[in-house]
Amino acid sequence: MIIQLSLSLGLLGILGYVILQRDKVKVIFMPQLAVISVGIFLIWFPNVSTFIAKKVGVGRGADLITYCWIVASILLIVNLQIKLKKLEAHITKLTRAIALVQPKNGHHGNNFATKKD
Amino acid sequence: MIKQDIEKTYIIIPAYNEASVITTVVNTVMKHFNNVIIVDDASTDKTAHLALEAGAIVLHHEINLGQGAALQTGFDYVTQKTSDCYIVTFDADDQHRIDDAIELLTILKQTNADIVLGSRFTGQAINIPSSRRILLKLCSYYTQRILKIQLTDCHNGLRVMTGKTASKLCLQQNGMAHASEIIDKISRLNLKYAEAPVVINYTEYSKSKGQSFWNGFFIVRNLLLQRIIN
Repeated sequence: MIIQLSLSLGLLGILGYVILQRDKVKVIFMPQLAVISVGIFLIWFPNVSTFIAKKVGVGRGADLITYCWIVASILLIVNLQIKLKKLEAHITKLTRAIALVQPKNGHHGNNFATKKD
Repeated sequence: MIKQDIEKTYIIIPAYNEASVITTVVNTVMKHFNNVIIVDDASTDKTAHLALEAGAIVLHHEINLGQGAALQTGFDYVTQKTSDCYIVTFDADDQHRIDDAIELLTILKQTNADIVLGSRFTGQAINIPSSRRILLKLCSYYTQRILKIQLTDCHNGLRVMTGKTASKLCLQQNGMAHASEIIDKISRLNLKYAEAPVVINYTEYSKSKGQSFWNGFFIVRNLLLQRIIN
């Protein structure tokens, strides 16, 4: 009972944060709401997860939840990697723009003799 | 080489903390070419200052991005002004010979190719570490079998290309994966390519600056991520 209450309170806390942030991340608000709601439901009705697990060929409800958690984590990590790559591309673009605006010329014997402003 | 070819050839040298060799490299290149562009990738030593003193044009990255990003900055600098030119990519660690660059340029003109790449395996790889040889051979195997591009050396920094080719490459890989990206682009853009022997001299200094064997895995990861994003 204590564990169920602690986990439920934790998930409710996360739910509160998700609701507060819903305007910033509208696209994932509903999926987040769904996952948290399912999580709270399964905490109080664990037999349901066992029932579903047996239907899909997994031994225990806890195992099913663990497998789902692993898959979700991998997807999250890949998503974060992609976001980081995009951020890196923005930084590269900015850094390059600064470099191209301020070339320094060692001598004037070349075709691109430009003077620094 | 005729004077007009020299006038419209731009040597792009990405550099990161190469203060001990950059003056030698720039001086050597400038004996044959006027347009030497050092892309200083946020070096923490005097690379940029020494390159400037030696007479090069210096483009400075405020943040260290990687060799691929530095090359693309160099490409953008040149192709913003003209695409009727030749571009040579040349390493800053004194591994390459300028005579090889001249030879590659001659081959580019004779074959009317879009890009000519150097190969240390049809040329010479002096003191190459065995782990590096294995990694490069694996890369060549992938290039030949999967990309169907017949190259014996897929990660050689010495290349010559037309300005039009450089303007098409649009490198997105900032790090060492750019070399694989260039080959991928040769395949996708159906560019006319050739390969020619070059000499790479692995000094203790250049070996200390080179890639580790395990970097190959990060290169593959970066290329896969880029495919997903694209």
